[in-house]
Amino acid sequence: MTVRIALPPLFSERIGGRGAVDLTAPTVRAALVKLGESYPDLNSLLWRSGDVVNPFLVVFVNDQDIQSHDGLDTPLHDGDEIVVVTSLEGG
Amino acid sequence: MRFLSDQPHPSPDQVLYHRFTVDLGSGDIRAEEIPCQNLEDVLGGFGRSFQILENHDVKEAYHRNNPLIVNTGILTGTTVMTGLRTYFSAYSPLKSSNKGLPAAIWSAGSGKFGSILKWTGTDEIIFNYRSPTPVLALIQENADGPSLTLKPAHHLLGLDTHEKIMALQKEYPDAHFAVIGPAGENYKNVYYAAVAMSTVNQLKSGDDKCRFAGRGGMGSMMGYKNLIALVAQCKDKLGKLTPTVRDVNREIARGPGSKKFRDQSKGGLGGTWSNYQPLQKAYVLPENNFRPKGHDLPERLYRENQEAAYVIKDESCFRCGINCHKNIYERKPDGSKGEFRAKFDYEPLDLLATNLGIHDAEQALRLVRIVDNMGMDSISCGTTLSYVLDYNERHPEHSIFNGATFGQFDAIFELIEMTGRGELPEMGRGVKRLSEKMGEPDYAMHVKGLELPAYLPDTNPGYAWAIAGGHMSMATFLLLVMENDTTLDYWVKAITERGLYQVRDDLIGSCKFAGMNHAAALQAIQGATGLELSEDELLAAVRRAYLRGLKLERKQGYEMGDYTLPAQVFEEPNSKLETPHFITREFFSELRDRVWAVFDPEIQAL
Ligand code: SF4
Repeated sequence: MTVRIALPPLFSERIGGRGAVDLTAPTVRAALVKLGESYPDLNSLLWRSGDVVNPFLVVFVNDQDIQSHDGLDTPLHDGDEIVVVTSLEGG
Repeated sequence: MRFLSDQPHPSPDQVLYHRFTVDLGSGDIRAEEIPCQNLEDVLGGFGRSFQILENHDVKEAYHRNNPLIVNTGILTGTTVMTGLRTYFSAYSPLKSSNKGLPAAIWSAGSGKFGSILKWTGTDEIIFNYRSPTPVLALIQENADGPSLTLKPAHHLLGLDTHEKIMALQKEYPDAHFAVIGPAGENYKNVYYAAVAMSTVNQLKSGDDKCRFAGRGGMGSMMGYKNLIALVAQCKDKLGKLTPTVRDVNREIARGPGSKKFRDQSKGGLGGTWSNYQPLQKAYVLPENNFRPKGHDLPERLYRENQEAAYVIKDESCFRCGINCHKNIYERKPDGSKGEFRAKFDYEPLDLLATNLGIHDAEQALRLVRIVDNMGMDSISCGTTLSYVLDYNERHPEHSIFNGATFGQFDAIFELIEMTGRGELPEMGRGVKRLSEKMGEPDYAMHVKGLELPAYLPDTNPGYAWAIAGGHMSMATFLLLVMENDTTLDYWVKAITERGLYQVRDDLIGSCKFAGMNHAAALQAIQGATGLELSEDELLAAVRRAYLRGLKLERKQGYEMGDYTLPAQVFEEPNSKLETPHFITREFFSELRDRVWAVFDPEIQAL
């Protein structure tokens, strides 16, 4: 499934300003793993120990929080948009 | 601003900005168009004002030689929906070096004032000297360009921020305003007075919904200058929306950068207030003077725990689709919206409630509102107060002021009111001065003389390199929680390669909550003004502006010893925090050497 992952500035500043990445993956977990493989500088933001996703990230697929679906195992379909957001922001 | 060339990439001197220079002593006003000298001038904000301050020798903030600069950024007043910023810059009465010299600072606020100011044709106003009597500055648009007139303002004295704005609205119904409150009028005894700016929602509803330029005492500077208000009057001149700006606005309103600040009903995370949960989960939510207790009392102020008692509405400054303001209204028995009470943004809520040992929403609402009405910076006021409460808890036998300690709402409220009225100069001059006087500076939560925002210093060594407020001018304050990396290499990089670029929006006139990445900011500038810049050019200008801030600190006597954290961080690690304790004196000293090894040569080359 070809999907787009949209990233907040905290992520994009580490990958040359790129605000979104297109890739193919069957699930959200696979998409995030692939993202980290393509851009290793993002791994410390994406993951805690092993395959536990950073608890301070909120991940949406087509504007739906993945927690209201199957979490990281949420299946993806062609054209889906994943949005990664940090649950902490200053101001 | 006026572009003399229609090239997409004109040289800076082909861009003119309009400046008024006002001699408040004599009443002389000079208007001129000035060619930009470099890209920082073109972009505006502190990029331009710090170059002006560089040329002033100021030994005391309250001195006739200290100019107050009011300006905007290149995006202010454009069709970019978050282009709403106004900047106030001066040598600060609050932030000062250990040698006692005042540091240069800027403070930014949204609202509609900046847009109207820009639409009058004015890009910058420098207020020199001091008016012998209270005045307001009226900036208007005339057939032959902008005009500025000084008018008597005795009638505004004694009114709070909101009352001043409502009184001015009667005189100037189609204008917007920047005013000080009682704290600014009592500038001698309050060094952290803020400037309140009107919002469209405030003028329409009559509710108390200003936005503030809070940091560094710019309201105190207005008070010192006897400048009680600024009035910008001009018909709306929002330009034509270009397809590029439409795309940028769509991204701002719907993209990942602002999702945190948008309402949950609009697919967002609910604004800065929603920082409470994740920070509390890791027990790094400031409580009782930045000393989390590891218990669940702060959870009472979670938004979800207040939904039943209040109607919470997401509202905006003016035409901004993010609607980040979380305005709290009474809930009537039938469930509908009642009277407006106050706004709950993360910083004021934590620093004026949880960090003072207050866990009750009713009390929090009253504390947030009184600080706004008095016209004080909620960060500096809250952080100074938490020190007082801490001191009194440690010294019940010889407590200070009214003896207030954590959780004592009535006594805390009284301290705030008295401070705003100028009756408690030791409290009103900030935590650095107070703690030094009390001989107990170790738990005074400031860095370089400026009170800390609501993020623990135990988690952020980068505070030492913030130049205008710990979280608004160095984006390292949430990194430990987000990434948990405690290596030196990581922190050197975080400060010198990433964190400093947070000040980009303090040049260009956009609200930081837009969450634009650099590509989007460039697109916004191009779409709104036609100016084409490369990312390298933009970032180089931002870096120079930031480094000039460090250079100005040195000029004002800042030395190695000023670049540190509250001693408690090193000496008394808080075992309740779930984040690792890594900021030892050794770590910090090595970090300082390595950060300066990067910055020093660049500062010298400026
Ligand atoms: S994000 Fe909030 S503060 Fe910023 S312009 Fe929009 S409504 Fe105003």
